[in-house]
Amino acid sequence: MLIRFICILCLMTTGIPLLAWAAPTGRQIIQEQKNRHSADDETGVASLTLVDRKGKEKHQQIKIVSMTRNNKSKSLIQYLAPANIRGVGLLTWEQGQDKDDDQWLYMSATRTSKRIAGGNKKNQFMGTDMAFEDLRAENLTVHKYSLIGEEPLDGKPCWKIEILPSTEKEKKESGYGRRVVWVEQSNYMTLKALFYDHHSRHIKTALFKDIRLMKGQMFRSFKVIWERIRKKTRTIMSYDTIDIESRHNDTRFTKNFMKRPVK
Amino acid sequence: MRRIMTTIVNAPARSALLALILTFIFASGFWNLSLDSSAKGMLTKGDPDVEYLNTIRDVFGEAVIHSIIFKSNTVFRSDILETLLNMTFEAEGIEGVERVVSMATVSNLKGENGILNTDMLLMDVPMDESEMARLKEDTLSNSMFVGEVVNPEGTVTGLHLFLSDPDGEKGFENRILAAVDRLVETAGASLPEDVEIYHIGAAKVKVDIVNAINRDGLRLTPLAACMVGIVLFLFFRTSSANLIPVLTGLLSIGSTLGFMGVMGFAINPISVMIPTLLLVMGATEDIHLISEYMHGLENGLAKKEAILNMAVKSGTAIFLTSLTTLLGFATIAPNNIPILREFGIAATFGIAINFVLTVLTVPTMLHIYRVPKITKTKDNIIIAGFRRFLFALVTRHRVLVTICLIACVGICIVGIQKVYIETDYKKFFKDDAPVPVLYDKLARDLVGGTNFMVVVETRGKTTFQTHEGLVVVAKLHDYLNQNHGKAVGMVDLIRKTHQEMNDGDPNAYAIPQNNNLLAQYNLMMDADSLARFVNHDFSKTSILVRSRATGTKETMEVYEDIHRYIRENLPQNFSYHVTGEYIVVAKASNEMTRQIVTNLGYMFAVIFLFISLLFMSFKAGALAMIPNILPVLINFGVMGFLGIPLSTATFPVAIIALGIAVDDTIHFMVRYADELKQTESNESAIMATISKELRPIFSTSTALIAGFCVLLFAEFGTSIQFGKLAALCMVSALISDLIITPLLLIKVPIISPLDMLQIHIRQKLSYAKCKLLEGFRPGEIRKILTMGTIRTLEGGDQFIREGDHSTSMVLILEGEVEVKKSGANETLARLSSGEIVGEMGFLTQEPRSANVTSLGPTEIFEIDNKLITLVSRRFPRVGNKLFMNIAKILTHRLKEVQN
Repeated sequence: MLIRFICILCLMTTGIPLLAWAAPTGRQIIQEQKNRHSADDETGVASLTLVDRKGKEKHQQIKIVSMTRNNKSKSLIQYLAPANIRGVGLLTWEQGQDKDDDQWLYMSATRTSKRIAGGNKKNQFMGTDMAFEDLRAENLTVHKYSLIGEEPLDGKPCWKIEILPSTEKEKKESGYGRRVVWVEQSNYMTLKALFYDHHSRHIKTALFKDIRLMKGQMFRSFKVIWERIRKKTRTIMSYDTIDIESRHNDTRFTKNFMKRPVK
Repeated sequence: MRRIMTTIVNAPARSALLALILTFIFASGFWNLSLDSSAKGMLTKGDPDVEYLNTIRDVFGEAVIHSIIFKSNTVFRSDILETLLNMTFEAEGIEGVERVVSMATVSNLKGENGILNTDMLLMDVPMDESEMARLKEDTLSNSMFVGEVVNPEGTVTGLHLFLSDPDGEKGFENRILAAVDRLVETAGASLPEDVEIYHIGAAKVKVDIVNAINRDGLRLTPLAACMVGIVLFLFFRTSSANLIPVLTGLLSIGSTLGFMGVMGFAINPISVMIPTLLLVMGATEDIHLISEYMHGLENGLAKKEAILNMAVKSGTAIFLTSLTTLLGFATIAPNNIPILREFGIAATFGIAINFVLTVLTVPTMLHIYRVPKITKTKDNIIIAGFRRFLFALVTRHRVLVTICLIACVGICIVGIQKVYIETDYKKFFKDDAPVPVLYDKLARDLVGGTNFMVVVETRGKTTFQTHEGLVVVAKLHDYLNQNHGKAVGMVDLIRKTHQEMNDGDPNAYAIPQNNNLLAQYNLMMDADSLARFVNHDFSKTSILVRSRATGTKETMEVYEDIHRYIRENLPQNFSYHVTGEYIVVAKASNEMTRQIVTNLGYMFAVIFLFISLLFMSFKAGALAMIPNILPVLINFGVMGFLGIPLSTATFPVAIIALGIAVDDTIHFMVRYADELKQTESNESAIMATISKELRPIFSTSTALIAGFCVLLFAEFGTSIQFGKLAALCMVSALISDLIITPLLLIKVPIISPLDMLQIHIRQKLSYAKCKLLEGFRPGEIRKILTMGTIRTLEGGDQFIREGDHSTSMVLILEGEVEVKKSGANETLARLSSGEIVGEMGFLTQEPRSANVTSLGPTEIFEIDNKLITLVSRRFPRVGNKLFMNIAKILTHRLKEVQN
């Protein structure tokens, strides 16, 4: 009887860590992902290749600058090339929670900016296959995350997580009724995402490639391929540089700043 | 030909076997036969317009559109919009749908109060009335949407599927149509009855054409066979008269369809008529043969003799008539338009194989059939009455007939001016068929069904990202929008963007001057939407025009007007093209006109030469054309007055009319030539010809008319038009051959008995090899011909008897004779074609020295002694030469004897 009790006690004491060592939840994974890979300040220069349904390509270059303070982000995307669109900019101030972002579009040709109506995040960004919401950081407050399995991708063990909008506003404003992501278990980087509309129809795929360690446990994907299934178009975003060391301030994220020549 | 026919008659089993083998060989290709309803067959290979269209398709995609339409008291309703959204998504997933344009795929860029809305017009169903009202206002206030995805009243909306089939998938249209049908059925099930849904477009046109071809082919061929059989039975009162033509017709059809399969020709709206054509036209040869057979039986010949008589007498005639029909169709074969070329080749083969199978099969079948009951020859009342009528017209009312003929020609010429060309397949249906009805509905409800593109291009890249380039395009775009339907292009997008970037200011609906701004506007646009209208380097732009023009004539008027506007108003340093399948096919109509004129010209030339050769007289050839041109004139005149367009379907009617008319002419003139040998005057010969040819010509024409009338029951409008015209042409050809031809021959004797005699002799022997006629000119030979007559002998006929008084010299035309002394077995001489016999009696006036007997069927020309003397006195030169030649012949014989 004593032996039996000791055995049970041992099981219980070892079981607790075992239980604790059980697979994390979807939310936990995404939270961990955000913790590891978020940078307060970031600057990237990327080449965009837009491929139409006939395979014809257009090439552009953009600069993406972002800053996060007090859990709210500001970002500025500016076009560097070709010359006739240099300086066109999109300024975004996230308002957090379930609120609409503030966005402004700057036309360098007229040196004027226009506020973009809120709730437009489902729209495509500048004729690319990325929606505005694709360029923003994951907002855990308006989504539900469920771990639906484990599946290797390119030989790498991954968690497969289903992401659903959790608020009515998000359901209405997001272009996605569901997302499924593959998160690599070793580094918490998303390798692949499938996007579904509100009728559960697969409309877009994103592949994240060329994963590089930046510092500590922070990684970045230097190449992302977005593909819209029905339109048969693709956008390939390849980062030339990503800098997470530079510090930014609020002046960079203003309409007036967009009027300055891009550097 | 006589020898071939005789061989066939004497070996019926082998002939039938050969017919079956031939049919089996050719018909084996039947399984490769396919159906083709596309308009590609109208496009000339190597045509620069076609090549250009293909390059534009690669850049901008297809302008082949299939539209799904929703109609209700208002389309701004949750149920309709929900269905529209779902249907748009599902349609985008159909393989072969390149893009979908609907309220759910167009951008609704809107600037108000300093804020820019970049949403798509319809992303989700509006949740409440205010959102719905806003959607309605946004939609109906945007000129880009109105007339394309919604009507001005907001009661009709549409999804337009842009189709693309670069690989030429088999059954592509069927698959698309089935998928659209499923979508519409599902939608219809979920929507209340007050919402009308229909769909129409290129896929339906092509599928309906194929289905109509199938149904027509299956129904009409047996029906034509029945009609021909009934008519023939009425005339001949024997089942062989209807079964034999049907049998040979079916064998010909099988062989021809197999041939088409081997050649890779498809059944299309034109070639679907070939089986009916073969059945009907092939029956005419059978009728002539059977008619001759019956004639032989009526004259007391036994069955086998009647068959042999039929083969010998009619064999050459049907060869000639088949040859002229074949040549007629063969003139269509070297045609640049593929659909016509294939028709010409297939029809030529069909006529040829029909002739072969007819000569192999008909004698055999007659062998098998029991001899029909022969009553005393008595034409039915109709034929007897018609004969009397014809006699009266030709002999007593020549002036009236001539006046009527001239009046008819004049009226036809007026009608011909009204003939127009039609190449639009949508017009090939009957007026109440679903395709034209739905296209009319689409045009009334929302947008025209005739699409084409106006492409502006330049060598310089980015031209259409500059103000200078876009202003030119805008001018053209606005002209097209105002005058030729709904025009959609990149200037719409640019102007709208500029307007909304200026808070919706109507004055800002313009092309901005700043080229960088234009580039930045392009950045904002949906790439897929932009790709419809401009290529990747902005050197080419396309304006899609959805026009309400229907038919070739209207389409060409639009085409001409656009080019006129471009010439008069736009800078010529740009390159402008109006293109699209409808345009290219419509332009093919010009090529078709040229081909028609050329083909008819060739055919007239061939027939003229043919008949001239046959009768050794250009005058004969020229005059014989008159009754044959008349049906062609009537054909085009009727088309003009009845508004029947000249199309790839009705174009062959003129060729067929000419072919059939010439058939009858040849039968008539060959008979006439025969009668001339036995009568003294043209008039008598013509009366006799009419009497003998009336029944076969009348019965064949009636059978043809009945057969073509079968096409009146076709589903396809063009088949009906073809049937009407062809039947009318047969009537006019019948009248022409039975009235005009005899009238002309009486008024203008183109052939005299002497001419016929000369022709006949010329056919039998070569003057060069005939020593008696050596060195004579044709005119001199005519004088010699007045000296004698032709006699036909059977084998064993003794035409010169030893001891008889000599009255003539004989020239052997055909066959062989032997010379023997009475009571002797030894043959003194054997003489054949071109040689003379009896010349000694002629020269010395002494009794015949030997018997001369024919060794087989023989034809001789007896030259009368007294006539020779008379003509020689009148024409001493002729007489001297004749005697000289006789002397040479005798000298030659003497030398042979000495040797």
